[in-house]
Amino acid sequence: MNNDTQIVKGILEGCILKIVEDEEIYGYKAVEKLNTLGFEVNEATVYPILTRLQNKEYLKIDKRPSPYGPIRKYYSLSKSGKESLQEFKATWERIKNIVIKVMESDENDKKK
Amino acid sequence: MTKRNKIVLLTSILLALCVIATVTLNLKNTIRNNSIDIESLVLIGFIILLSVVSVPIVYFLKVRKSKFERILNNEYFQKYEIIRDSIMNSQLSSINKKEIREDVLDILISSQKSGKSAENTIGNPEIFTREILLAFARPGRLPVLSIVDGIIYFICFVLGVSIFIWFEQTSINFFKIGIDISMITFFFIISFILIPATKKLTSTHNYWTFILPVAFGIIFILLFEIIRRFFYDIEIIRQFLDGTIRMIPNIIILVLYIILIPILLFFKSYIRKRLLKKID
Repeated sequence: MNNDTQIVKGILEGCILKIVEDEEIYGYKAVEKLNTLGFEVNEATVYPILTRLQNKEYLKIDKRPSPYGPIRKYYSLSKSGKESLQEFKATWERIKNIVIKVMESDENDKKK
Repeated sequence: MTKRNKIVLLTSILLALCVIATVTLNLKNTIRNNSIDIESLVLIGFIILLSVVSVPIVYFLKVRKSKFERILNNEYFQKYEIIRDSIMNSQLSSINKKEIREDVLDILISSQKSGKSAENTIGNPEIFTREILLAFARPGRLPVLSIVDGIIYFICFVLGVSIFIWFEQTSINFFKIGIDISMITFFFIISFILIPATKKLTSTHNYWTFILPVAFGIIFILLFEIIRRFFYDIEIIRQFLDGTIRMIPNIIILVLYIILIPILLFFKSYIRKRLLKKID
């Protein structure tokens, strides 16, 4: 999967919001979670997205020391983050249905 | 010590040696002309001391690893130092810089502990840093702030050199001190071109760009000497090389320079906030 495309970045943003809504999470854990789900992303892709979401004030931050020593940032969803996630879900639902329709019509045309 | 750090240290030693050699030569000429006084000697001693001290300062500020940086293995640290330098040389606020440094360090240490390679974690550190900076502002916006930095550097150079010249000859009225036009040109190039270019270039894989400031200084002086030797008969060249300008002609201008620095720093912080707000 090419993670550099704008569409994937947008989808990743939505998915990260959902992951953070489910549980308070830190950067490295978010990468692991996304990879478990099948995204094949690395820290270089996820951290800038987390930073962007933080700058948009969609994420709340809690800083605690990590087991290895340095300060670790734990992300949770803010009120505006929850609103953004709802917007993403609605947009995703709409786009997903449109894409399915387009793909189905393409397959029907081939069958004819 | 990584190759990058060795070059940083080497450059600081080279720069210190260049300064010491220059003041020693100057001292030799002054003694030959029998015009040496105690003030000049104190000043020369101070410059030499400053040059010597600059090397350990560079070591402690730029080369020495922090407690947590020492956890990173060489592969990880090589990538981390490029990211760290790029972030530290960026126009982000010091709070943002510190936060990003801590985040990146935590991510890299966690990845290293999990057994992942640095290449799989970060890939190209320059692209990674660009992506982080993009999370704060659109490209081309933050460099606007380097113009403000350039003005601040230029004012500091003018004030510093004026005080330096005055210390050499305290009998002269401070407001009658003239600075060479060639030297003002030199400061202008350093403030508005060399410092931003060095900051930009040292954030890449090419470690030898650390030599750039020293190389520029040597080339600039050599070029001036060549011009002096072959084109000194031309009036405009003579004016450029030996003509002086009084950059601080009166108390009002001096106060203006001093006041301008905090005003520009405040303006910079205001502009930064405005730019950072405009993220889509």
